[in-house]
Amino acid sequence: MAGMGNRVLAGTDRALDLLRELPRLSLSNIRSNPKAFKRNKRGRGQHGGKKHGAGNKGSGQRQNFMRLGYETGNNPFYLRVPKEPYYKGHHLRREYPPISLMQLQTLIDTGRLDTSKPIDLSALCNTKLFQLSPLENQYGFQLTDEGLDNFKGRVNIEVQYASEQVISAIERNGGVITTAFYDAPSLIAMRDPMKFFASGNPIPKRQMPPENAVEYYTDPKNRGYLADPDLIALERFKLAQKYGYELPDLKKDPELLPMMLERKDPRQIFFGLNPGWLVNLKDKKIFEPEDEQLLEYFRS
Amino acid sequence: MASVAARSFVFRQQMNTRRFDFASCLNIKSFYSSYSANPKEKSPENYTQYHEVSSDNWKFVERLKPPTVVPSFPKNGSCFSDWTPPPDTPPNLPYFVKRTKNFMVPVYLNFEAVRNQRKITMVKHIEGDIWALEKAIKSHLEEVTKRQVVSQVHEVAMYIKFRGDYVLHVKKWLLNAGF
Repeated sequence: MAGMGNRVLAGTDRALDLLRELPRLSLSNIRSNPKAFKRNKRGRGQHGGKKHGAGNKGSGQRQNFMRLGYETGNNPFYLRVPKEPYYKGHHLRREYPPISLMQLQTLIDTGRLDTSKPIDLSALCNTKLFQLSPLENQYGFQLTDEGLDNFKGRVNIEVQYASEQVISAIERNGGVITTAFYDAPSLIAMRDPMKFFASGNPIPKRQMPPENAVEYYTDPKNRGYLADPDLIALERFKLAQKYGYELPDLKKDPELLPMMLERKDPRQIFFGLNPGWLVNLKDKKIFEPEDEQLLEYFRS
Repeated sequence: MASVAARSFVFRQQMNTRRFDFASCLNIKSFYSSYSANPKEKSPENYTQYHEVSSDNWKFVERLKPPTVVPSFPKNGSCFSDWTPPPDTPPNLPYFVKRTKNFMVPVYLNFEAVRNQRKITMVKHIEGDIWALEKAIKSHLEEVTKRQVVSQVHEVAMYIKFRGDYVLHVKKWLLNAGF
């Protein structure tokens, strides 16, 4: 073993020394442990032949099997246990992966989120710390109450669900929270905006929420994006009274006020970009169609 | 060999030309969900005319661009979460625990299946005298929890594992130590 003089090698040093001496690792000097994997024995050729993996006599060799689940006459298991409505309609239920207020505070502290701009689903997905799969019934993020007491960030945030206490935590610090609905094609565009622009599709028009979500998003208590802004202001005041904090006046900070009040149109998915526009990333241009039918569709 | 291959190729070509197109025969119009999924029009006249939108709107596209590297933490930013930025100078100790590329403290909770699932607290990115660090953390944990703590020191991979969920305690200790 190579060593400098009388130095005693231990631990990492020994391992590194060994690595220096050994030849380069490649497929030619590597082998799995014996019986690490089993070679698939197909019923073909000399050693897979004769009975071809089908055994002796019976329905097995004659390939005349009974139907799956059949228990030779007695009441089979799959019929014995009655159906229960636990998972009925679960494929239709929307999921909202959580983001806690503690995580949000950490993101602000580490500089991952820019609080000088409104935070929406695109901003959260652009941190690359949260994954969203709309194809698996995930319709956005919900803001959870973990770290509620220590939350001190002043943000204009848009999520898909937030409970009352979370709303109060955001507003107590002088922030603005909105709950908004996005349909699946809009979500796919939002979670990776650059990839979407590169695909050459025009910005989609955001669809209205489904029937069972309309009540939620039109309620000012939930700060829904379809609710009346005056009623939302009233609810802000009421919530401050309920939780016992003084509602900060947003007008006291005139620099941040336009940012705080920045909200999207119910048909818009990106701030400042209208549905129907086509973004050309290479030439750094945005195009709008002139066809009447298209314009009518995108503006409706 | 070559003649057989050539014959099969010619046969396949003939089959392709004879393929029956039901849609064209029955005049069914298909509507696809996005522009890119649709079959393309043959001449440009069938597409809409367009004009360029004001270049003032480009800043909104720039806003949507994600950062290409992990953004460095603000020097005098807020510190209301559990996280504190790494100090400029390392503490004067025989060991050092390096931060991850996201500037986080490298303490993780693993669930290792040893017959039944077991919670294991792992400290990674250790440099220097690992045994001294293990002794220091272990004594702190035993003092805080008033229980015996089982640990594993891996000298080659340079990590320490503690049996149990002590993530918050270990993180706090490391932050206090100045790592």
